[in-house]
Amino acid sequence: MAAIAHIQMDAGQKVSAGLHIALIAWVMLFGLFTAPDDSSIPDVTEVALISTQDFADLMQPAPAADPIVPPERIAPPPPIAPPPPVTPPAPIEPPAPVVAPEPPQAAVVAPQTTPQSSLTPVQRPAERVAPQAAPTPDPEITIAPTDQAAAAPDDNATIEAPEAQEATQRAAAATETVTEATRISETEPAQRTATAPEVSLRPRRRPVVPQPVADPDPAPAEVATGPTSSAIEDALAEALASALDQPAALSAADVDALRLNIESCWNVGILSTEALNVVITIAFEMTQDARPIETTIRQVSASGGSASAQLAAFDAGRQAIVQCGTQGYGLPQELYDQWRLVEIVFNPARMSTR
Amino acid sequence: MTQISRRPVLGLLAGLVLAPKAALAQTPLRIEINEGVIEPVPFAAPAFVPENGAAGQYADNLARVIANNLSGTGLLREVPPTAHVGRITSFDSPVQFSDWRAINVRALITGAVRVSGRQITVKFRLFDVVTGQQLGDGLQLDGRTDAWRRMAHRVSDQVYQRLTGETGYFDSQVVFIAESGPRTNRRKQVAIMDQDGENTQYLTDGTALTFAPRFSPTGDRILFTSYETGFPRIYVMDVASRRRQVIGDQPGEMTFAPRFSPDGQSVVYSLSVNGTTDLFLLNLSSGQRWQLTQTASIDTAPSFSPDGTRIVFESDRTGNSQLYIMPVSGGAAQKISQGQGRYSTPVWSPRGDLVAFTKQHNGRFHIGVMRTDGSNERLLTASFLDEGPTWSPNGRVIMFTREQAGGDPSLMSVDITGRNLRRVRTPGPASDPSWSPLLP
Repeated sequence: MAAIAHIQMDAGQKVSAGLHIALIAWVMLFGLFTAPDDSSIPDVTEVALISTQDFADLMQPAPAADPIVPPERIAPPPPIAPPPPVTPPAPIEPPAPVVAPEPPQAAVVAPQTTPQSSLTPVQRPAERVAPQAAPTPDPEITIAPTDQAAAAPDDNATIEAPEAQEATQRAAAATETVTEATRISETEPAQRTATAPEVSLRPRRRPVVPQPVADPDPAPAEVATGPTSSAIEDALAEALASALDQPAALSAADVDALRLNIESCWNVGILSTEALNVVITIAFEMTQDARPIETTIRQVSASGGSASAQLAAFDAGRQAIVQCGTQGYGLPQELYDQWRLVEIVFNPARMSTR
Repeated sequence: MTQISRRPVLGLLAGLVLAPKAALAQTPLRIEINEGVIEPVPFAAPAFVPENGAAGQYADNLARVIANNLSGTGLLREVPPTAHVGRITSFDSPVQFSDWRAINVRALITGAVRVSGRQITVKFRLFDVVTGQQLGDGLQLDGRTDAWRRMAHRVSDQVYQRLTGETGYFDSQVVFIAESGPRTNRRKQVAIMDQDGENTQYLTDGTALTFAPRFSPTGDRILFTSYETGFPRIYVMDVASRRRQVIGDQPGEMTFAPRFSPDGQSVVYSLSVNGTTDLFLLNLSSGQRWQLTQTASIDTAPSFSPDGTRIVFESDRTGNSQLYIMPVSGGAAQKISQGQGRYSTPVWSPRGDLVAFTKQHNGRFHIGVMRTDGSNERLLTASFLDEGPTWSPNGRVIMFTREQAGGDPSLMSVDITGRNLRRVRTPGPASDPSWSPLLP
């Protein structure tokens, strides 16, 4: 009996084992537990409800002020042929310095001061407000963003003359807005204006400290090379040596000059008070002669203000970059890699209080 | 073995030297600019191109109105047509930017006009001459020929918005008191005109003294005070129909200095009884009124904040006239004026950030602005008599009355920076201006 039972248990176990294997195989092959295929069920998304009136309004024809197609772009003018090369000029002896005669002691006359008047310079109203005051220009002269001397080509000259250009001068500028209220209160008594200088007597800018000139032909750096050095090692050594030849970095004076140049063309007077709260970062690329490439000017980021305020802030920044870069920013060509890409953060916070 | 160990060392050394250089080459040169210049932007508005014979008379006029509007802001300076080198002969032809750069123009407005019967179509484009790009989309406006000036104002608004980043204010009106006759027998009429001084119309006949007209927030109604009965009373007038009616009138009371709430449903005003003057709020629909102040002083010249929750007003409760702000439901008022002198006629800016006011100090009158907490007070003008400021719809310009010693009053405007102080053209002596919102 025990043997029969043993035999029967073996058979039961076999049947059980077989059924388990069959179940596992069915699960694996036919995906019992996989999610049902619901591709036939359409996706349900939330939609905004619209009234019949709104729908009817939407179906109306466009309002009267229809946008119109912008004009076609025009081809750039053909490039101007460069002037023929001319002989470099010979050095000319500088004139002997003129020694100013010592003024006689008796000729020194103390300025007559007006009692009840202050000698403090008084801001004069000007249409232009700039970081540095500028005197009233010659009425005959053309107003331009930068001062520029007149020049004309001279056929007999032995030096390369620049293209003919008209003399220009910056418009008169005050360093802050002078309202009628401040003007009247500060000009009492009237002598105060008479004794005040036209512009600040202090030097306009701290002189730039000349940068040390890099040795044009420095001794190549010694690189240890073994007698068994391979071509890879030679190449590395050459690259290392040429890297050591390069000047360190763009000088602070160069960066400062670029900044001052763009500042002088960044006109924020047109911007709304909201746009004067926009801090905008604009990036652009420059050509090797340090002129901005207009097509590369783009907005990197902007904070503060509405979309239209940010747009106006971008336009002002872009104009400044392009306008003051037409003659090139005068950056050192050998450091082109360091200023090819430029990012400028225009932050008008200080200007909003002028 | 030696070769294997030396290569990584050389590579590492080269990497150390070359990596900063490579990084310098790829990292943009980054500078921050905090200082700029403030000067008017030169622009040109050549005559619009007439697209048919009937449009000829409007072509130059449209450009002139636009140029005058933009020049009047002080933010832009027109390069006059006599200086133009280039000519716009077709609206759709490419612009020769070099012609405009040569005369230092930075913004160029081109346009065209077509007239069909009594309909006029005006279209325009705005260009940045420096970069040679069109700014925004060109727009086309259609209307009646007798509304050509409004279309020019709308073009000006679009150009202004694109250049400055804020809405314009040219398609708006000003209501004011037109004065005439000898000083001893002055005739004062409520008059309305476009913001540039054109299209003046008289809303009252001048038989009674009128003063302090104020626009409703929708520009279709006007409040003013009149001595028609020999006693000052407040009237509300519908601008289109000229119909008017008295509001808030009680026997034995003087009512004056009214101003609409931002929703146009209520009017806040001063009411004087038995020597004290307090502020009251009147619901125009129900006729119900609430007393907002109750002091033994003179509380007057109320003006709502744009959100309608607060009221700024003047009061002499501390001895001389100062500015206060209180909730629209009344209650405790907070003094905001902090300087010396007397402050009066406060008006809340449409932007909500500033309060314009009249200040009398050291024998001079000033128009000034301050923040709503009284900080950052700036005086914009100074003269024998400046008073009664009103804001342009965009909160950028303030118009006010100026009177010189022994002279007639006139309207002046000034930018909130204090720049561009100029006289507003009126047919004769004028006072008490109130600027409308932008027209619908």
